[in-house]
Amino acid sequence: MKLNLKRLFFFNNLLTSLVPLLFVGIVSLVILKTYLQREMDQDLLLFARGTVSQITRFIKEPVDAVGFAFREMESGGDRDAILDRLIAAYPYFNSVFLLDVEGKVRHEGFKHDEGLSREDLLGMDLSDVAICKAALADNLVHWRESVSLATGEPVMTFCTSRGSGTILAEMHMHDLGQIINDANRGGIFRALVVDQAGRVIVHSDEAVVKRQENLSTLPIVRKALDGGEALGEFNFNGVGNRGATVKVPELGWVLVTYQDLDKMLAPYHAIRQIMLGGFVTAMLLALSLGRLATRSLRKPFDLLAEDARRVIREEYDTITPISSRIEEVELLSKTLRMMVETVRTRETQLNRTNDELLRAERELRELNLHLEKKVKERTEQLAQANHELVAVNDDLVERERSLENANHQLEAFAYSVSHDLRAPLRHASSFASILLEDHGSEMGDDARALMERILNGCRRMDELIAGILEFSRVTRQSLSRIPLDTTSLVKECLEELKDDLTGRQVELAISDLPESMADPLLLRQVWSNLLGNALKYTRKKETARIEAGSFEESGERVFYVKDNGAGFDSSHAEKLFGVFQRLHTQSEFEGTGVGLAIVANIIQRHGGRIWAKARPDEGATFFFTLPG
Amino acid sequence: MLRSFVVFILSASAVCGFVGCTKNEPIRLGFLGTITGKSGDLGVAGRDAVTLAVDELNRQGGINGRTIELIVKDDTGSPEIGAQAMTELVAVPVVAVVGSIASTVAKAAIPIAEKARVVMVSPTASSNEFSNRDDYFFRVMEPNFLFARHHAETALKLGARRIAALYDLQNRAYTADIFAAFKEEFTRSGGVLTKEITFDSALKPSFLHLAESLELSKADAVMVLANSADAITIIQQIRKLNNTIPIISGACGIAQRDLVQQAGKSLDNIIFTMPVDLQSSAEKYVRFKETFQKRFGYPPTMAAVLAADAAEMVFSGLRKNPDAGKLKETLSGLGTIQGLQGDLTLNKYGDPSRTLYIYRMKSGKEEVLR
Repeated sequence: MKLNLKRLFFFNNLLTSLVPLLFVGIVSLVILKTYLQREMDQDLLLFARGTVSQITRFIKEPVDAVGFAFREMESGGDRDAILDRLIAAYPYFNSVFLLDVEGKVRHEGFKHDEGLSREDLLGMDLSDVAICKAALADNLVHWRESVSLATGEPVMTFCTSRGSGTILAEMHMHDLGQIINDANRGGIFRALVVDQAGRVIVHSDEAVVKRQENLSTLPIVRKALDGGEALGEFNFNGVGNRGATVKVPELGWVLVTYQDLDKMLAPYHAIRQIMLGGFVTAMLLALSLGRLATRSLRKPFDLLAEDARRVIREEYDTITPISSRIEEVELLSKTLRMMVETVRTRETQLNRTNDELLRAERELRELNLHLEKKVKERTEQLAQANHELVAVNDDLVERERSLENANHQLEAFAYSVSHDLRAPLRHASSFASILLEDHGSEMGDDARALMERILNGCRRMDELIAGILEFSRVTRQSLSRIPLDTTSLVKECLEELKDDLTGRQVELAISDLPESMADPLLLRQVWSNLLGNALKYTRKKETARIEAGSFEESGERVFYVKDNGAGFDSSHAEKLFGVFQRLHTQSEFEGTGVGLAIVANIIQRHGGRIWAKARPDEGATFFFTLPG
Repeated sequence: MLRSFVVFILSASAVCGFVGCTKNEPIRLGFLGTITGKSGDLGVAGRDAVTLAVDELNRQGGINGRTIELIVKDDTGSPEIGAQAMTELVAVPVVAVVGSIASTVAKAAIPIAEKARVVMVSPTASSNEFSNRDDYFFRVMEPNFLFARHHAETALKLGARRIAALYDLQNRAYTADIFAAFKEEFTRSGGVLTKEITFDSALKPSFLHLAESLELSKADAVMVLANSADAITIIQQIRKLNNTIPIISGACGIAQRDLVQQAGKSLDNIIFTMPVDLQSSAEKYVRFKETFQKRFGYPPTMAAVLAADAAEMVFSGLRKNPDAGKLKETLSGLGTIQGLQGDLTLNKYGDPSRTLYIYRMKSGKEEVLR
């Protein structure tokens, strides 16, 4: 909810008036209620105790009267007349029966207008009536609340026994009700009596007694029946009451004194009404004052708002001072005018600054235009350079493609040349062999030696061509890399070379080699060539030693094959990896000079490197790497 | 703003008031019975039993969350006052009335119940007149003719073939009714009525004279049909004349509490038939008996048991269908209700079928004759 002045004044007035009112009111009400209740409880208890004393005195009187009648009878008076007098003298008696030792009615005093006749009553056998039995047994007075045979109403009966007989007297409860009514202090309190079972037997309203209502479920009655005094609230006949209970000792009955809660709390309710009235009045007052205050503030605020609108419209000269009884309003008006002056000064300054800014902006715009032109020129130059660079690049790509093409053609040419050269070579070789075999005897030694040289030359050339074809095959073969168990591969290669070991003393040192990621056929060729070379170049050693192993260097896995063979001069090591390049003569060690070129080609195609270290007559070591 | 404030307060209180009215409104049940006067004992016991049943039900949460409010009216045994009380009850309005106790009052109250379409369930009204009628009157006690027939059978079984009878003309709907049925059955079975004496208890007659006029020497047994207090006084007079003659009494005339105490030995050899078994060991009855004794300080009498059953009949109906307007149809279709001493079967008119028990007083206590 948005606050406005009216609401602000309303809530302000409401809070300042109501909070103290509520606080004081509630505290007063609580104190008043507690006080009233305490006072009432004391009075109720006092009244109850007093009334119980009166009841105790009241029930003593008929017993005394019966005792007097006994004495009269014992002194020889007419028994029926004595009992009639007793009934007449004490109106609360309904009937007084004198029973014989068998418990039968022998004499009676009875209000015969209530229904039963003397003849009906005489001779009735009451020996089984509980209180009579008890009285006959102990000669004490025994009380019991009962229902009248004549009227059906609740009555009190008592029985007492003497040597002259037993008297069973029935009394109505009206007089007891009267005692309670008389004891009532100016009609403030009411009272009732319940019997041992909790049934109402005495009440100022006889209808209540006749209804025989049972109050044993009321906690205060329950407590008193158990022997104590009690105070508490309860509902009776649909009315809320506060009451006190006290037990009547001789009879075991309970006297209940009570007062209508509404009456008891009348002062409390009155104060609460007054408080409620005050509450409503305060609320209305808060509302009225809020309206009044708002109205008196509204006009100067409207004028101030109009002045503010003039400022917006820049009608500074029309703003005039506002006169009001409220100091703050005048202060606001004065402040507004001061604000207007400040605004005007600021506005002049702003205008000036604005002009300067406009000028600067114009200059900037010009500078900007120049800059744009420069940038455009440079951009054009850069685009031109870029264009040229692209052309150069295209040219380079084109050249590379031509080179690759030429290379492929060259490889194809080499292959086809090698292949095609073999046929005439075989012809030459075959014819030379025929000549030597068929006409050798006709030839002189020189001619035969020359023929031998021709045959040797042909064989050598065939080997060279085979080497070229092998090299060509390897370089053209496609590459498929898979993980390989290198140690097994090396062992298999050695197994294939075992014929070369026959009759020789060779020490082989093959360490466990790591797995390789390579083409299986090509890598087998690498190891086969390198191990074959090692065997070949150690042939002249009495004891050959060949070692295959690997090590890690700068994060690279390096494999090597080391021998103690002929070795070579390391300065020529690079030559070794060219096709047909050899460092030993054919007579020293046979070979085509293709094997290492093939090895180098395979390693390079796998992305690896190959190099060698050696010294003449001290053996050689070939190293190569294979990327993971 | 003031206007909106006031509107808010008014609507809030209206809403609260409305909710309060519909949700907490109790179900109002009437009780009509003779609570004061000579026959007051039956009504007081009935009222106490219904009060107990209502309290028990309310403690268990009522019916469908609604508590029961009992409104008690005293008819004092007078048909006129009973009719007036019934008019007041239907005006409340009540969903049903447990009552009345006396057949004469029931007779006066039934037309009012019919007109207002309010169900009456009587604990003790047993007049033959009310049997087999499709009306708003239900009861949990069997009609008089069954009692009368039972009395006749009992008398013959006890060897009493000659009976002198005495009955009160007040509550004629009960006494005259039962006597006529008894007479028919008894004489049909070979019995002889040696004397038939009527009296009006309102005229305060001499009971000794009435007893003498019964000519007890010519009879094997006496039948007395009167209210409790008068029945006991009459029995006292009979006992003065004959200490041993069996006396057959109407159940309602003797099944009392305070009066039995006062009558003492005179009640020995009184025989009566009751529609309840005061020594029943049915679990529900035993619990009721304990609670009743504790609450009211006396053991439940026949009227108390029957009134509790009558209240249960109304509760069973409302549990089955809470629509009070349909209670008559609901009760007619109930078939059985769970009585204190076992299930009670109702015929299509809502009349029950109960087991009858013969009692004989001996030394101030009832003994059941099997």
